[in-house]
Amino acid sequence: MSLDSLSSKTILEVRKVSKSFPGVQALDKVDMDIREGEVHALLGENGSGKSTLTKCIVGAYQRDSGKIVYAGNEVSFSSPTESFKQGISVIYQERSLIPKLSIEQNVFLGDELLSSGFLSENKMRKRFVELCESFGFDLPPEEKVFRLGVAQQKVVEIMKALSRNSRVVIMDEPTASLSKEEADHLFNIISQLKSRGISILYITHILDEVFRITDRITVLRDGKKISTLDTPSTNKEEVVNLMVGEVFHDVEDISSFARYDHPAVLSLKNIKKLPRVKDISFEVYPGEILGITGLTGSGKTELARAVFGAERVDSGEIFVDGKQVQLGSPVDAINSGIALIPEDRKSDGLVLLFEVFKNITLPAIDEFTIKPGIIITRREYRKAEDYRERLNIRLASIHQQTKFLSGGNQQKVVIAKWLLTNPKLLVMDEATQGIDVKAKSEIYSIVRELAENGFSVIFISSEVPEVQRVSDRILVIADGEIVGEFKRGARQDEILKKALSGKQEQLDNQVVS
Amino acid sequence: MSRPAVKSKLASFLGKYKIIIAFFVLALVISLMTPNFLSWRNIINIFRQSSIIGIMAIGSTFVIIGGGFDISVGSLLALSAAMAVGLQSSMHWFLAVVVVLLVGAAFGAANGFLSSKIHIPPIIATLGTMTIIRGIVYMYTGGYPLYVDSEGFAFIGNGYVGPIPFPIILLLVLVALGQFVLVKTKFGRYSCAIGGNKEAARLSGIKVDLYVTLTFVVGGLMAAMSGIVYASRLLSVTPLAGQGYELDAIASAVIGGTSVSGGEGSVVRTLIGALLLTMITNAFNLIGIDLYVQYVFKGLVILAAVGFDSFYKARG
Repeated sequence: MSLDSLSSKTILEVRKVSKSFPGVQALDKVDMDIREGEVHALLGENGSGKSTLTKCIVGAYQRDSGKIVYAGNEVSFSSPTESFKQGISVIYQERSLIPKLSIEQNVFLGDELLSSGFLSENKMRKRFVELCESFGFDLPPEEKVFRLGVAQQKVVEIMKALSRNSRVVIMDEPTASLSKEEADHLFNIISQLKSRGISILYITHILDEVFRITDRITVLRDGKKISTLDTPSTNKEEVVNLMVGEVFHDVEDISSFARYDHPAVLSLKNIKKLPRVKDISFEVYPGEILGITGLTGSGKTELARAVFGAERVDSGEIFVDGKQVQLGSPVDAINSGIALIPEDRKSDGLVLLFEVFKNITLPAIDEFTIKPGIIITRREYRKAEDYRERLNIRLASIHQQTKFLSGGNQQKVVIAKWLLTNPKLLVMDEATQGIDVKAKSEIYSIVRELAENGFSVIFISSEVPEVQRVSDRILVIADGEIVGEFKRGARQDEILKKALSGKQEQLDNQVVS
Repeated sequence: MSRPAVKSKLASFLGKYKIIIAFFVLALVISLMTPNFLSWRNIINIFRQSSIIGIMAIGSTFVIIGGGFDISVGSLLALSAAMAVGLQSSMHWFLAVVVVLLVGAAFGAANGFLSSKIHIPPIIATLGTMTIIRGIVYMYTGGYPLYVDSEGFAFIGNGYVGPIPFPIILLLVLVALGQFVLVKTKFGRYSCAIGGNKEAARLSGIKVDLYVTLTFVVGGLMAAMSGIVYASRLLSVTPLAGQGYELDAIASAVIGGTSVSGGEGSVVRTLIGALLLTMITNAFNLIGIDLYVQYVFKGLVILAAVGFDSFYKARG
């Protein structure tokens, strides 16, 4: 098989492509090539540059330097629409179909077949049937897309790509929400595509899939290409090591402030919030930094939102300081002393058009009001200035609109606003996502300082190294359940393996059942 | 300071003051064309003509800032005016005014409930109540004009305090109060937060539904107040009163820079928006231009005011 693919031609070549964002070198001279009729895996931890690379290929981002050669010509696509027309399509993790249109309408959307200027139902139906027959799909053309399951929707997206004669199909975690059988069906389709000379760039976290269907593997880490391997001549162990990189056995010896002898601040018993959170129980102690990690889609964010009352749980019990509480809304959670730094600070954490001080004082506005609800702005300014200094928020003035701040400073504003409510427990969901290295390490110190002052922190992140760096204790979540617990000092590769294999065990169980 | 920051400062300065600049430029142009325009009498006239829409627009400003829309306020003006007149046959005018204000608040609460709790898009929810309230007006009046003759009540729309007509004083007091509530109270701050980012507001522990409903209550109260001024000014009400006023009220708020998507606005600038609209009508009448042309011109002013914001917002 590998000889086969060696002999075939290169369809897409990436040469020394770099891309930087303010404070981050997202891609650093990355080389990669994809051959005709090849299934090529793109692997790497979160933040390693996988999605930036695909975005640069299809023109969603413009690269800073380097070349992309497609079908023998150097290309610079201005947008994914253009690359799609040229034959490179992307099947995103989030579905990008229009639910209220039919399957057929979706397949031909943007490239409808016409006869004398009007939509030609006949031509489209004919082409649709042709596609179905030649690839062995069985889909009713008139069915509305919202009635389809996730797996069928994936197939519709693939059909859409095929209708445009795509030569390269990029798939981003295509099995993320598929059952075992559905995934098998997808793999069959992939081998069909392959046999017709269509190339697939396959992005996933699930190593078993990689070894089952791919021909070669490219590993990215910190925006650099680490290696390209022939799949048959490598193994999981090697790939994990390449993904993780140098393993630091001794973590900096930072003292822990966790008081395990005290009663738990928060205790969850059998929390269920379908579809993502299945059965989760744990405790958090005063002064403890509890790290929670797991793959994208493992249920971390949903768990965070449940603890904060942003969404009602299906079942389970929540205890704060030993007393059972009902967290039906964020108001309840705040009154119980819980705060949430949400995953998406722009859409959930901040009012971007507000001046910075207004964001900082928003949840604790009552502290700055006298009856009947009149705000004393002078006090707000003073407090906002305090926190600006304490958290080293870099801005021109607290009267600046929040949207003009950098990501790291915006995140500090979110942290400031919650510290002001004086919470017992701070839940941080992907708190360092998309911010520069300096701001990241500042956020780690803030977390340490909070713990030192007796606050408890639940530090949720899909980046194992940072969880390992800040946490006293680490829980690994896979598929809505806790699959592992580690003490400070645990090895990074062990934690990662647990996160990856948790999903694996789950798959095996499904095979049995 | 970096260049984008300077640019953004300039943009926000223009955004804040463009309406005031436009107002004075237009006033200057008109006064050069028509000598009577800047007379004391004419200025007082413009303010008095603005008072009914102006009061209504204070409420619209709150509703739009909170992320909503209320097109039922024109009908509510008619109902309030009709009730203010009709109730006086059985009670003192002052009591009638209080009852009318409560009715206005109640309809505002209903609008808020429909949009925040039942999740009907606000423009549709208030389209429904607009039609219902207009129907109630017809039922209440039997389709005929109502008249009233009460000196005390007449003062609201026709009285003077010194040289200044009372409706103008009422308008200015309500604008000042509205601006204070918007800028200096928890309710105002929360309304802006909800209009600016509903989910972030909810996750900050704000009872979003309650505060959205309260913005509609302010809208209802102000519509009722404008109905009272209307009835008192004319001492009569026809069932057709206030038709289309809701659009002028929304236009005033929007010309005054209230963000149509919510989160931003100012009651003072809404007042200027209302004055600007009246000024255009007034000038056209003085110059003697056809009413039909006025409509076209007013429409262009609305598009220009909103277009400026939308265009620059879309470009970041």
